[in-house]
Parts: sequence; C-alpha cells; structure tokens
Amino acid sequence: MIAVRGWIIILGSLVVALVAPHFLPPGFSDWLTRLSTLILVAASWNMMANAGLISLGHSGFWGLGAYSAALLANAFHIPFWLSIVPAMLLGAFFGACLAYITGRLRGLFFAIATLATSEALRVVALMVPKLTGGAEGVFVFDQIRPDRITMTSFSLCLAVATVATSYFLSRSRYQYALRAMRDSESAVQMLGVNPARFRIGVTALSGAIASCAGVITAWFTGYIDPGSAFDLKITISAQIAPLFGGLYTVTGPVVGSIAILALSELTRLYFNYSGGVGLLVYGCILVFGVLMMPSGLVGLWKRRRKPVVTDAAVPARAK
Amino acid sequence: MTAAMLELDNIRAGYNDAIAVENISLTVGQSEVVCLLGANGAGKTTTMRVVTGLIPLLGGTIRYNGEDISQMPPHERVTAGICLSPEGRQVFPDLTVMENLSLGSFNRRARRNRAQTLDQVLTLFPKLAERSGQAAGLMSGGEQQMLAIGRALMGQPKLLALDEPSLGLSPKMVSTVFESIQTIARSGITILLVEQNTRAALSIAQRGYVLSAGRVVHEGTAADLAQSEMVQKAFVGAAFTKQSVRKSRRERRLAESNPGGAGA
Amino acid sequence: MASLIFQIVVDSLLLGGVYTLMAVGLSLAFGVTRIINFAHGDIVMYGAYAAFFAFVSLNIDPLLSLLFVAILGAIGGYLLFKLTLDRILDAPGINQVLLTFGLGLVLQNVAVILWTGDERSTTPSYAFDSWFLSDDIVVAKGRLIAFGLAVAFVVLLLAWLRWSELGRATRAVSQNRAAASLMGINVRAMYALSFGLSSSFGTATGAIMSFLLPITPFMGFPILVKAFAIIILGGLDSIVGTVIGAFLLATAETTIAYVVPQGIGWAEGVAFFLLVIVLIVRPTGILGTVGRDA
Ligand SMILES: Nc1ncnc2c1ncn2[C@@H]1O[C@H](COP(=O)(O)OP(=O)(O)OP(=O)(O)O)[C@@H](O)[C@H]1O
Ligand SMILES: [Mg+2]
Repeated sequence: MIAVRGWIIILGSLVVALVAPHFLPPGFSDWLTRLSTLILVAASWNMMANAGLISLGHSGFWGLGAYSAALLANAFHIPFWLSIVPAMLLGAFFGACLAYITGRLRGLFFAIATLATSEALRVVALMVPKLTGGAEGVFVFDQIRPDRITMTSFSLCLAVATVATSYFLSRSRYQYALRAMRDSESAVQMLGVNPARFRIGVTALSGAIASCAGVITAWFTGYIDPGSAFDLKITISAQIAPLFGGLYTVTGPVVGSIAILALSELTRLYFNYSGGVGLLVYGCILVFGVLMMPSGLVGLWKRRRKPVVTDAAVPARAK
Repeated sequence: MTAAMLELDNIRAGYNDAIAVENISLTVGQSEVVCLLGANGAGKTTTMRVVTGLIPLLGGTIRYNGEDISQMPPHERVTAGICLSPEGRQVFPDLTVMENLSLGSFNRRARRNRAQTLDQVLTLFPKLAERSGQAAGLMSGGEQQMLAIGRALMGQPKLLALDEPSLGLSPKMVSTVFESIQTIARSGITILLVEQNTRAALSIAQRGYVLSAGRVVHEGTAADLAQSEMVQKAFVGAAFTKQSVRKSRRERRLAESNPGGAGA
Repeated sequence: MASLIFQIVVDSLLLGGVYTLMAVGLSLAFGVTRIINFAHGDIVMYGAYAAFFAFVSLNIDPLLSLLFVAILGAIGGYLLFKLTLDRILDAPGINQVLLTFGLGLVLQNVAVILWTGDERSTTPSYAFDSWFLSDDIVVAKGRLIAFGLAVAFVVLLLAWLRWSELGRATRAVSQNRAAASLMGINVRAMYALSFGLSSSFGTATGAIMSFLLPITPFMGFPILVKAFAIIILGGLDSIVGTVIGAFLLATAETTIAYVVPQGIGWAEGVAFFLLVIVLIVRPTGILGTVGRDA
C-alpha cells in the first residue's frame, strides 16, 4: 500500500519536474538546478553513511563526472543527456575500485582514504594538461549546451530518481543489512550477506549518482577546472545536508539540501557574499548539528509529532 | 562482623541493553576477606566492575566506608582506596614492569610512599624485581598475573579487589599467589576475591557469596560454604575435574576478546 | 649528479624535521583519544598567524613568540576539547569525524573573514639567508633553524613521555584506557591534556612555518593531509613511527620535486598517493599497533 503511495509521489514529482521549469523565473530555475545537484551528492553520501562508510571524497566522484562528461562531449559531440551514461559508469567503476581496494579499512581510515583519493584525482587533473587542460580548465562547446529549462527539468528528474532509489533501498531487505553494517560487519555476515560485496555495491551506486551531479554542473556552467570540480566544498555540503536534515533517512538529505541552500542564499544577501561566511555557516551547522541535534531537522519534526522515549544510553566502554 | 567497609545494596548493572547482575546485596567488613563464587557468566566480574566504577551502576547504591560512591568515577575510587587487579590481567603491554608498577601508585595518596610500597611489593613478588626492565607484554601469563596484583598493591589499597588471581597459573604458582594474598590480608588490607578455584578461595576467605545468573543465591561463612552440598556440587566438583580444560578455554577466549589488552 | 643527490638528502632532512613537528601532535592526540583531529591543520594555521601578528605589530621574532604561541595553542586546544569533543566521546566515530571536520571549517573561515585570503609571511633576516656547502649545495638558514627546533621539541616530547609521571600516564591511557582508570588516572582529563599538548605542537609548527611558507587561511588543509599521510605511514600512535613517516614523506616529495619534470606540482600530490598506497598495502603502517577498525 505504502509502495503504491511511494510510486504516486515519485510520478507526481517527475511530472512537476518536467512541467514546472517552463513557468519559473530564470533565477529560481537555476536555483533548482543547483538544488538538484546538491540533493544528488547529499543523497548519495547518505547512502554510504547508511552502511557506516563515511566518505570524505565525494568531490572526487563529482569531478570525475564533470570531467568525463565535458571531455567526451567535446571530443565526440555527444548530447548532454547521453554524456551521463559514461560518467555514471566511470563513477560506479571508480566507487567499486575504491571500495575494493580499501576493503579492510573501517570508519576513520576509510574516510581518510577517500579524502586522499579525491585529492589525488585533483592533482592528476591539474598535472596532466594534455588530457584535462590542466589549471586552465575545460570549456564545454557552447553549441551543444542545453537551454535552461531542459537543464532544470533534467536535473530535477535525476534528483527525483535518486531519492526514489534511496526510498526503495530503505524499504528493501538490504536496509537491515545496511543498518547492521553500520554497527558491525560480522553481524552482517550472520544475515547471510557478503559485506565486502555489499560495500562495493553501495559505494558504486553512490559514486554513480554523485558523478551525475558533476555532469550537470559541467553542462550548467559550461566550464570546469580542477579547483572547482574537485572542490572540497562539494564533499562538505554532501555531508552537511544529510546531517542537517537527518542522517540515515530518505527525506533528510532533501530537507537538508533545501535548508542549507536557502540558508546560504540568505547569508549571501546579508553579508554580500564576503568570502568565508558561507563556509563558516556550514562549519557551524556541522559542529552544532553533531553536538545538539544528531538526528537532524527530520528528527526534530518527528519528535514533535510523536514523543520518542530516549533510552538511557549505557556507554559500552568504561569512561 | 566488623563495621562494613563496602556495602552493595540491591545493585543492578549490565552492558548495553543486557542486564548482567541484579538485586545483588553484599557487604565486606573492615579487614575481612570475602570471596565471590559462581560459574562462568554468573556476574562476578561485572560486580567487580561496578564496584570499581568501570561500568555505570543502573540501580541500587554502593557505599564505601559509609559514603555513597555510586556515581564516583573510577579514578576517584582508586584514590579513595579501592584497587582492582582485573580479570585477564590488563597490564600495559608496551610499558616495562617497573613502569607498570609505578603507574599503580599514580594516585596522590600512594605516590608519596611509592619507594616504600615498591619495596614491599618486590619482596612479595621477587620475580618482578628480576624482570623490572622487561616489557610487561613479553612476560609469561603467571608473571603478568603477579604484576597485576603487585600493580594493584602499589595503589596502597584499603580494599583490594582481585578478579581471578589464579587464572592461568600452574598449581605451584597458585599456591604461591594464595600465600601472597594471605600475607596481604594479614597486613590488614580488606580483600574482595573472585575465584574459580573454590577450595583455595574458601581456605583464605572468612565469608563468601555464591552468584548464579546475576543474583546472589547463597551466602555464609567460608566453613559453611565449604560444607554446603550445593556449593560442593556446583563448583568444587567441577573445579576438580574440569578445571584445567576450562581454564585453557577461558584463557583463549580472553586472549581473543582482548588482543594486546588495548582498547577497552 | 652526486651533488644533486646530496642536495636532495639535505633538503629531505631539513623538511622532515618540520614535518615531524607538524604530525606529532596529531599522532599524540590520536594515540590517547583514538580521535583524529581534522582541525589540526587549521590549528597550525592559527599558530602561523599569531607569529605573524607578533612579528609585524609587536616586532617580536617568530623564534621568540614561539613559546607564547605554543602556550596559547595549548590553552586553545584544551578549551576546544572541553567545549566540543568532551561531550560526544561516547557517540559513534562518525560524529567525531564530522565534528572535528566542522571545527576545521569554522576555524578556517573565521580566519578568511578576519584576515582575507591574502598571502603573508614573517620576514626575519634568517628567512632569506643560506649557506653554500659547496658550489651547488645550498642550505637555507631558515630551514636549518626550523629543523633544529623541531628536533628539540620532539626530543622534549619523547623525554616527557618516557620519564614524567604524566607522560607515563599518557602512554598508559593510549594502551588500555580501562586499566588506566584503575590506576587512578582521570582518563577524560588525560584526553583534554593530550589535545592541549597536541594543539600546542600544532601552533608551534605554525610559528615556525611562518617564515618558511606563505601564510593563508587555506594553508591548513595540505598540512592536515600531509600529517595524515605521515602518521598513517608511521602507524598512527607511535611517535617514533611518526618521525620515520615524516622523513619518508619529505624524501619522496623532495626527490620528486628535483627529479620529475614539473616535479613541484606533483610533489604536492605525493602525500595523497602515499596515503592511498599505504592504506591499501600495509594498513597498520610501519610501526603501528592499531587495528584499523577504529
Ligand atoms: N563486555 C561485555 N559486554 C557485554 N556483555 C558482557 C560483557 N562482559 C560480560 N558480559 C555478560 O555479562 C554476564 C556476566 O559476565 P561476567 O563476566 O560478570 O561473568 P563472570 O562471573 O565473571 O564469569 P567468568 O567466571 O567466566 O569470568 C555474562 O552473561 C556475559 O556474557
Ligand atoms: Mg569473570
């Protein structure tokens, strides 16, 4: 029954995504495009977090997507909607490799490994100018860039598809395995799931989705360089949105993305975008989010509707 | 019975969501030797952890010299005179024997008389003096056990808690260790002793409690317990026949669950 | 050729000293608390700014302000720990990663707002001096001084850990916290102390770097990643391992900078590549004892 409701919501959102951009002012349309990319990275980051994998390397997926789309488009003049296929494949492949080679690493070390990999990619993009244009970056041919309305519709549809994916993932039997992986992988083995394969699967999926966001940005801005495509800020917003909205939930990344994007517009209005304020706000969200509301906005909302009995936390380890 | 030094009143404790001990009440008098007996998993170690504050108390009260210490953090209990030689020894493997012993007297009260206490401990366990410069992790299990007891003694305990001091020791070492415990007891230190080796424990204790499935099922003087049908059947018999097998299995389990003793 | 090799050796050695200092604080705090401080690089950056302002407004040489900067760093680190991490010690590791990451962002962007992205540096006379060992082997005086200070600090730390009462307690906590609390050690207080000490090493590194590198609010991130690479190479909680890791990274960077075409650019990426390789090939580092399940 609920699955039916889920389908209706998804189809409805898709229709809205296709129709609405025709009637929106350009500024808002652009805002929606940026929101979609944020939802893509945030939801994909949250998928990995769900399985206990903290990624500090989502900018790596993003950059891979952006570069592969831009370079392929320039070389073969493929249209923007097609360029998403090789980008997603590359993102998935890279994610799978990452999960495979970091097989034994947990938590913290996995996080550091992802951070290092994405930064290594940035250095490669910078230092191999023959392929990537180096520090000067790449322009996407203007003739093949889609118009604004198509761009917005396309990104919104991708965002809806992503949220739908995490929704169905959360309702599937894998959800238990994912949650169990967060606690301990040996418990997952008892569920009859191969944790190594599972890690690879989740990371590949997450990578594919995150690289879509890069593709959109490349087409949207028409220009990329190593600094912006592999920007650590991407990773930061990918983790802040779910944390702000509600970690491990389906709606959390969406709510969080809307909230922080609105917040960053506001701060920009108020502070004239003097450098640093936006990121300072992000930093404060991270700090206060972790300290004061670890279950995010969605958690606050849920708690308001039905009071949750907080179990007396018993620290397992001696203080 | 002399005035109660340690008093557990209906305590409850456990790990995460599992309750391991419940409704445990017991007292230990000044200068008394009291032993806790019970099968594997009965909750003896858990009780010791609650007494020393390593795990939080979920219900009931703990009084020490009449003062409520239920919420006192572990390091303050040490300063107050409660020192534990923990199950599985838990020596600092990369530190030398001497460093381990010095750490035993880290607390303010004991630090003042460190040299003197050290002399006493080394007299009690001459082996430790021979090995003073060696990394503790490289010593034999028995030597580590002596170190764990010696380290607890270095804290100048008023109440010495010993969790299975004979674990993994050869029969000869067991008697050495029990002689040492008796010496310690004679010097006036109160002792709370957990032991699988029931006969040895009852031979040096004045009173004892029998735990089963997290509750006290029996208590009495050492002589009573030694005679008791139930204790005889439940533990002493088992201790004679299966002792060596069980010990080696338990040893292995401890080693697996706590590699290198690092990370609590 | 021979002189090139010799120059590489000299440069690696000098760089390795500073790198050790940069990473040793991170390793110390991790050993005790098992928390990686993602804000460590930004703490270094604040040390550099402190030394810079002492130099331009009060005319105090960085080598002199070093001590005050280190003390300020210790106080700052201690407070930072007490106000934030201390409250979530029992939370899952992901929260600690996100928290220190967020702290780093806050520190960095406060600096951006206060001091803009402009590059600055302290300019004591020795920053520009160098000696020629032979015709083509150069030793920069600033780097030599930095090296000497780094060695002194690390030796002091090792001595403190080895012989002092608190140093011994620090080692005890990093080996077995439950047992340490049974020794009467206040484990939480040791956490805060180790964070304070770690930050003090961080800011001292910053003060020294103030005459070696341009000071910007963004200098923290590469420092952080290099420090990661170093302590992971060295096995995370081993100070001696950290020293080895630092010299390995320094040698790798210096060699690549001299030998590979466009080497300076690639050298900036060495830390990342090394990190990935080490994490995959030998996840316990060179001297590490820490299982990678943290
Ligand atoms: N660290 C822990 N985490 C979770 N459960 C534990 C832990 N330690 C003990 N338990 C559980 O608590 C119960 C009591 O264990 P405890 O260690 O107190 O028994 P014990 O009487 O000391 O047994 P033994 O003679 O084997 O040492 C057991 O059911 C055990 O499974
Ligand atoms: Mg036990």
